[in-house]
Amino acid sequence: MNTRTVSSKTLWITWASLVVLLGLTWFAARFDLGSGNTIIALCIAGAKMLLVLSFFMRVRYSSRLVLIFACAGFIWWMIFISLAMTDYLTRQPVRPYNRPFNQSSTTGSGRMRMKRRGIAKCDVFYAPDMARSGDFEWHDLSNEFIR
Amino acid sequence: MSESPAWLREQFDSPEQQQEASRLGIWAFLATEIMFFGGLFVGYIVYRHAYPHAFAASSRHTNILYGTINTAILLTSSLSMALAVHAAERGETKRLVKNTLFTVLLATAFLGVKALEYAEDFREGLVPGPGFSLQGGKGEELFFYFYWAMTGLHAIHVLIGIGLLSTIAVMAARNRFSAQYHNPVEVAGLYWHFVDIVWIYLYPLLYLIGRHL
Amino acid sequence: MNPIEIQTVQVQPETENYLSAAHTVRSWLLTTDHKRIGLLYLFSILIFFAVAAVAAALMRGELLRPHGAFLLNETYNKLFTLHGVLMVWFFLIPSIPAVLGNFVIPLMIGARDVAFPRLNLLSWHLFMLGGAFVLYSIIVGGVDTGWTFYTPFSSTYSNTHVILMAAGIFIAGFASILTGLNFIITIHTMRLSGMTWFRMPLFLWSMYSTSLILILATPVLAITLALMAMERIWHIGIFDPKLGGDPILFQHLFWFYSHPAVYIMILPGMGVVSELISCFSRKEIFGYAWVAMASVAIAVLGFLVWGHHMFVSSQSIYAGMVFSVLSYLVAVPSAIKVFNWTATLYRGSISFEAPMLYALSFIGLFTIGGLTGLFLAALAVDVHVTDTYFVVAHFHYIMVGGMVTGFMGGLHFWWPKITGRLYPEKLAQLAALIIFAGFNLTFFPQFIMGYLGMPRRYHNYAPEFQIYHILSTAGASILGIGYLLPLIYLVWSLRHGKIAGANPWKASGLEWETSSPPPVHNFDTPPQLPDKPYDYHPEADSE
Repeated sequence: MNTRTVSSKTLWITWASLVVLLGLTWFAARFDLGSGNTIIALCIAGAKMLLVLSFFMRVRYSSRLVLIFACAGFIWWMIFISLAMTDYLTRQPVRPYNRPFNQSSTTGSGRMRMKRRGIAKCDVFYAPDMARSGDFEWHDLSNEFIR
Repeated sequence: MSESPAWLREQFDSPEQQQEASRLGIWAFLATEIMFFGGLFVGYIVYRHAYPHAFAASSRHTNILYGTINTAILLTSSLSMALAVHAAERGETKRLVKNTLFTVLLATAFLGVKALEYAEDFREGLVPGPGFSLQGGKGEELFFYFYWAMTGLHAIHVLIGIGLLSTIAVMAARNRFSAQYHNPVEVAGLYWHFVDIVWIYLYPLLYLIGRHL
Repeated sequence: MNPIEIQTVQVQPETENYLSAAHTVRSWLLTTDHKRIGLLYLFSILIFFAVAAVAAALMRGELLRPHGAFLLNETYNKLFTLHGVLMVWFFLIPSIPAVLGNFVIPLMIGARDVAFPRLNLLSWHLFMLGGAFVLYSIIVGGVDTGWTFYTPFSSTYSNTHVILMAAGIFIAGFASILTGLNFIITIHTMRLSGMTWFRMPLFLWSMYSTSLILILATPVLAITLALMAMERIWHIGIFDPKLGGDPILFQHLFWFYSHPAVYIMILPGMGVVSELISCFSRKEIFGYAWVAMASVAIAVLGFLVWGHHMFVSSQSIYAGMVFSVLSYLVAVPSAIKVFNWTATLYRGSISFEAPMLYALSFIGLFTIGGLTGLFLAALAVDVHVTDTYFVVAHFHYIMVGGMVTGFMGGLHFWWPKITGRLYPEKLAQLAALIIFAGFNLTFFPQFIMGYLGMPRRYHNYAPEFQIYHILSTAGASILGIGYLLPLIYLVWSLRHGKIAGANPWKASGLEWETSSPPPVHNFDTPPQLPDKPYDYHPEADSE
């Protein structure tokens, strides 16, 4: 674990790169690139993180065990988010099984009414159609639920 | 063991063992911190996926100037902390103290900017609850819930960092560290860089979503 | 041979050990000696166990009659909540790790203490602080959400002291994290020179794997409880559907911790069993490397299966299928261990001291519990038996039949090392058998009635289940006697037990190379590493 290999010049260059990346991410956010905005922002954040990890935190100059410890937390978080998203990305519509998709449910039957409005991304929790987009507003009819 | 230095704790056989233990110890602790913040990030991702437009719309109400300034402050504080560790391992006490104090100063500035920002958010009715002023839908209140929770938890960690680094500065000023022994400086430095990394992710996720709208 | 009585009686008064070194309260409450901290934990967890056991006794009494015997609905809810909370977080999770792990790990690796002794002390104090919060929340009225704190009941509708209890668990969680962190660093950096990873006793592999779970899972519990508390205070909507939130998100967050937590509540027991089986068959563990890697595999795979607690929660069915397949996968390393223990027994020179009786019980009862876990992992079966007594029986077979049994076995095995005294063997064997009988009578009927439809957490039930409840309560009484006996004779042995030598079991392991009880710094003379982790020679019958 030879930590004397980080020179102060390396540290200053790392800092300068970080500031440049900060400017870049701020700049890129001003344009509408669709889903590219998020991807670019996360890539830049990832690059900044790697710079801080490698040079400020000296992972680059440390033992493999330190590298494993450094990766472990991140990998474990990735496990969490990936498996949790297997749920949220595959939720199916809440609708009565014997009624076609595009019919609205009757009032007072204790079901949730869904109203489509505009063209926007769908509400994933109770989405009628994962492929289509639309902002959904649903009314909780808990008052009408039969006790 | 009459030749073992005072700073070598009795459970360790050698300075190298002690240094390895403290280094691995702080990295293991940082892994726990990743999982701690990670729960909030999971919640954020789930709700951003559910309410993408509400999140984008609400993000525009955050103060990007304060956010960007704060990011720059933290990145610079990371540099000064890394330089402090650099000084510590060369036994250059004065540079160590100077850089550590500068890091504390920047961290305090971060909290100062944050205080201004929170005050402004409060005035604009961006606190979730009865006084919430945005009318765009449920996702907006949820966005600000995560905004306050994540930046708040981060600010608590900055505050703890200030305490930690101030202690390091005092210990350094009292010549407690040398080129042979500076584990606490390294440990505090790693903690501080972690706090910086969390903010590196918070900045785009909270401030930059809907800027193009 | 074993001339323990004669030799050590003279040695005892002159040799200072960790118990005789100081007697003040301060020397105990501010100790940084891992052995004393282990004993502090032992004392504490027994108190929490007693409170939780009283709650269990009250519940089992209540369940004798189909329409409740003497408790209100709310009281019954509070009892099963406190039983779960105390047993999980204040008894099982600290049991083997914080008591036996703290005591034995540094001895087993030939070190003077753990890597961070002051953090170890802090861990115990945090544990007690958390426990104080929880006990206080029980005294001022209790919590009725169940130990699982499901939203939106816990976050919006419950009128009980949820935040107090959650705060106690939050604080105790940090105790777990510090213990796990300490063990990981200790095992990585402080092993005796020459003790490579594959020359470590398997107890250390299990403790290392447990510690991985402790540090990676517990922080998620902390943030989850914090979010639930914030929801309860400020009603923001993170878990409230009316405000756009998803209650199932809480379950994802909660079970991401709590499923690995159940592996915290079995891996240490498996580690103990490896030590016991090899010692009392006079044979090294069959397939040592496989058992070692299986421990790590259980810890890692245990993080991938949490959704099997949520099959009927309105979680996506596709996610359910993913979690079901992964749950089948996690059973494989556990099965590998059971096969390897059995293979160790084969053609071993088996003796039936109390620790061995507990180890053998463990293998049988854990196998039943584990197999019923596979039934639950099948989506279709789970729809039928989820939230019934089938699940209750399943986890009690593993937690009580497995972990507590392992804890009892380990406690008896290392008792001479910890106290310098032998416990009365015949009485201990009797107690082990009583526990085995009582346990099965308590929990086997629960499998049957669960399958027949008896829901969990109910104290009002259909009369056809009464016979099973009566059997179960009868079994619980026997089990209670079974657990009381060791309490009595172990305390008795402190003063009146035969004095133990350094290695009364002629076991392999560095902890047996030092005196019983050990000196303050563990080894008066540097320990010698044996050739193999389990250095048994059944042919020679002596070391």
